[in-house]
Amino acid sequence: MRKLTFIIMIMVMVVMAFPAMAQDDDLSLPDFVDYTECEVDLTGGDVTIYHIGDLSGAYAAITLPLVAGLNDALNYFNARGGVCGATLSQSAFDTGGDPNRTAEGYEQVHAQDPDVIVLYSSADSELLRPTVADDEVPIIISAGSLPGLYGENGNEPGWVFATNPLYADQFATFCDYIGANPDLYPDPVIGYMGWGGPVAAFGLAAFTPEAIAHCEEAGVEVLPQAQTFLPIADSTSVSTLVETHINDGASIIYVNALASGPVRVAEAIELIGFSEELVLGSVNWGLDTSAMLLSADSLRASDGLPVVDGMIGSMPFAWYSDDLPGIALLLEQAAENGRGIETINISYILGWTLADTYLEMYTIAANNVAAEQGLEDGTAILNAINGAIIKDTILSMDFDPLGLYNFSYPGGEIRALPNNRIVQMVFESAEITGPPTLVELTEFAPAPDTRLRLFDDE
Amino acid sequence: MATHLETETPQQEYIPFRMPTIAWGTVLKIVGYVLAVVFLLWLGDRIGDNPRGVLQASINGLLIGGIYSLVAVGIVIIIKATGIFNFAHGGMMLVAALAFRSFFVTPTDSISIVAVTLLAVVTVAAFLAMNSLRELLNPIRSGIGAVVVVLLVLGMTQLGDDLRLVRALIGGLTVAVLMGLLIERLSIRPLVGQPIFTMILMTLALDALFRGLGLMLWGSIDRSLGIFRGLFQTPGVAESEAWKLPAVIRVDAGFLLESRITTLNVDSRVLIAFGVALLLFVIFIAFFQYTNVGLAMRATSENQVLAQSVGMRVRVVLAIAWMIAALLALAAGVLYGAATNVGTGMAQLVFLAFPAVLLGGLESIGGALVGGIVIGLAQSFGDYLFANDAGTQLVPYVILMVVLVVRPDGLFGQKRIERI
Repeated sequence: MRKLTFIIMIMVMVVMAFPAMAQDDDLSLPDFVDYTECEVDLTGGDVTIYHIGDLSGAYAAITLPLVAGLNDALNYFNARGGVCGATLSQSAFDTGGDPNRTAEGYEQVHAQDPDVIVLYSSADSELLRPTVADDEVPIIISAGSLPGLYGENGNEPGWVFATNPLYADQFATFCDYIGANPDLYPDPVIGYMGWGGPVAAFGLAAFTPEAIAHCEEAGVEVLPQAQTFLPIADSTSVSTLVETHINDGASIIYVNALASGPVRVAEAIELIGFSEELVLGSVNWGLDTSAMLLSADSLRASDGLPVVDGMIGSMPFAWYSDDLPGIALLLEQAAENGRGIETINISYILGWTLADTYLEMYTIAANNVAAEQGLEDGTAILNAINGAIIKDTILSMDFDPLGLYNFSYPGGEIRALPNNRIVQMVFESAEITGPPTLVELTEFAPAPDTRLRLFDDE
Repeated sequence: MATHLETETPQQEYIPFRMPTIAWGTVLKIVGYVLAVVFLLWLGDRIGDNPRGVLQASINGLLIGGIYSLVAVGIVIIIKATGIFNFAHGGMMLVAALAFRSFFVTPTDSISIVAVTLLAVVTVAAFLAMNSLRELLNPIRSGIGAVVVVLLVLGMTQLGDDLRLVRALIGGLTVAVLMGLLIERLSIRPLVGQPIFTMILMTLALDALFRGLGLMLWGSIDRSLGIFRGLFQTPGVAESEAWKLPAVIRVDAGFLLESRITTLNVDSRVLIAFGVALLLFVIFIAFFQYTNVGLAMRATSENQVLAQSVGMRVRVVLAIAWMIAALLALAAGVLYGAATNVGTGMAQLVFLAFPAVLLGGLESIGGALVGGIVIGLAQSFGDYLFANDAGTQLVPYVILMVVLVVRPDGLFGQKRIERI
């Protein structure tokens, strides 16, 4: 009996050893990313990415792929040693999109003594701005708002850091491109549209007097009345609003919404029969694989291509091109983790770049703490890292997470990553077989800081 | 003289000063008339400005209103049969539409025969056991049930991808029937005899459950549902597909003053959805008027105890009502999903149907149709006149408030008189 048990144990061990033996030996970090070298050993420690936000409400379409990307990235980086030996993990608090739950989420997370927290919604960052400043906890958010990042007067950079340019600045970048190409867009008049209802703060975030003034200076007229529609609106209803813009003289429609927004507007334009005459523009979320998937079965343009073909807009990170090693890595890992094309979108890459940013941020912070405080023990070093140290680290960083954008806040006074570019979504054929091509129309360059117009008189 | 004095004395008594009486009703009427005239002048100005736009907004409102009506009638069915305002209808729409889409887009060879067989068996068993679990022991019923199970499984697994619409219809209908029966059996029947408010809270809980289920099983990404795509001409190859419908029907409207837009445009998907919605209305009105089950449902809604005392199987009637509501949720979800996309936001459509239900009258199927169309038109004109989502968010509710003030039971609701 004992012999049998022993044989079975040996067999089990052999079976368990096979997958480990079959694993890729190359467990080093990506060589196309310039990481700071570890000068400390944090083995046994834990670095948690705390995030608070809507995982089951209106924003779930972009937050769940972000969590998926974060999950895949943490497994990938932990297999390669994590942060100097410390394990990266994540802890989420779902507000369900209810702003009343944000404070509750913060209280719960704050009780765990976080060094830094990730948020998704601009409204949440506005709500928590004074609290995190008092508690000295930096916030990382994808795209923030002026009050969240700089306070009500727009001149008090706080503890909230955005990884996209402000929506108003993205709109200004779009206007700069339109104004610089009068041969392509003669006498441009933009009709602004965005999500309304409970997400109107996001839908109208780019329609600021400063952004409009910037557009006018760039030679682009912006119609004074913004049009808003609900996220669940159908293209027939949206067409009534688009018609108003057309009758008021619009030659370009700019949409500030997640991907289904530009798809509905593109359908409405096709429905009205103006796809040849109107140019469609969008904020970064519109130029996504989800726009492509949603338009797969929608109305087709007169050339048979999806209605969003030709849409131009702001894209502050390198997406979508599998020539880039960072994107190739993401696609390879997504395939390994069984992710479908509906998950591999902008948010998915943001999940990965967020994990990569944490890796670099904590490496720098740990090196600095060890050198400045003379610490050697990994646990002591991690315990010594706090929000203020992380804030200083963020302000000092110049890092390209997976080579997809530049994480750097030059001068220390800005709170939104400035780099931006304009791309165009192009489909090769009527049949959608893979992600769309994003043709780069302008190179990466700092977006206009429309906030500064607030202080022109001073 | 004395008599004279006696008669004059009351006239000399002190009469306190009183404010002149104001006929507030008349004042309100006058203010109302003035406001109506100002509004009509403004409206006339806008219409005169762009008569084509007004006509287009009317067409848009009518078509979208048809879909709202379909959502509204699903809510009305439950109110008629049980007196409950079903807040779970949006969640039911979501799950039913997502299940339909799964059967539509999943290739035949990827559909799990085990899962589909389980679904068919449970659905048929739940159907047979509507009144009592003992019904399952009846050999004739069980035999028929087994045949239905086989047919359902064959329909969901053996129809090729060319017939995927039929496959999706069979799969969607099966899921909807099961959902309706389970709701009634597991969450509503145990609450019979409890205050109506308890049941309404249960429907709120069910709504959260269905939304969560949708997120858990299908994720949060919006998805397209191209059930009508095969019906439409592909741009560029229209000659070989002359028998198909154009995706957009355009009618020249150049005679309606000059403007940048010269055509009236109708999305064929929405037109088909409107047509199907009207057809379903006719079927349901006929069902309630002319079938025994329909008459039983009307009787049950009047008085459950009385209906039971004359031998009606009230539990079966209630189960059928929930089943019909789930089927209507499926129809509305699929039609709206085909015109837009299927995603978690779809459940919110029900909030646009609530004013339609209240406007038409809580228990009136015809009222749901009229209410839906009125709300659709109100939204569309709101969008046209106010040029933002005030149309969607404000105008329907303002109209609802005005109608409820004038007619508290809605346009076609029954006026209840309770004798004490």
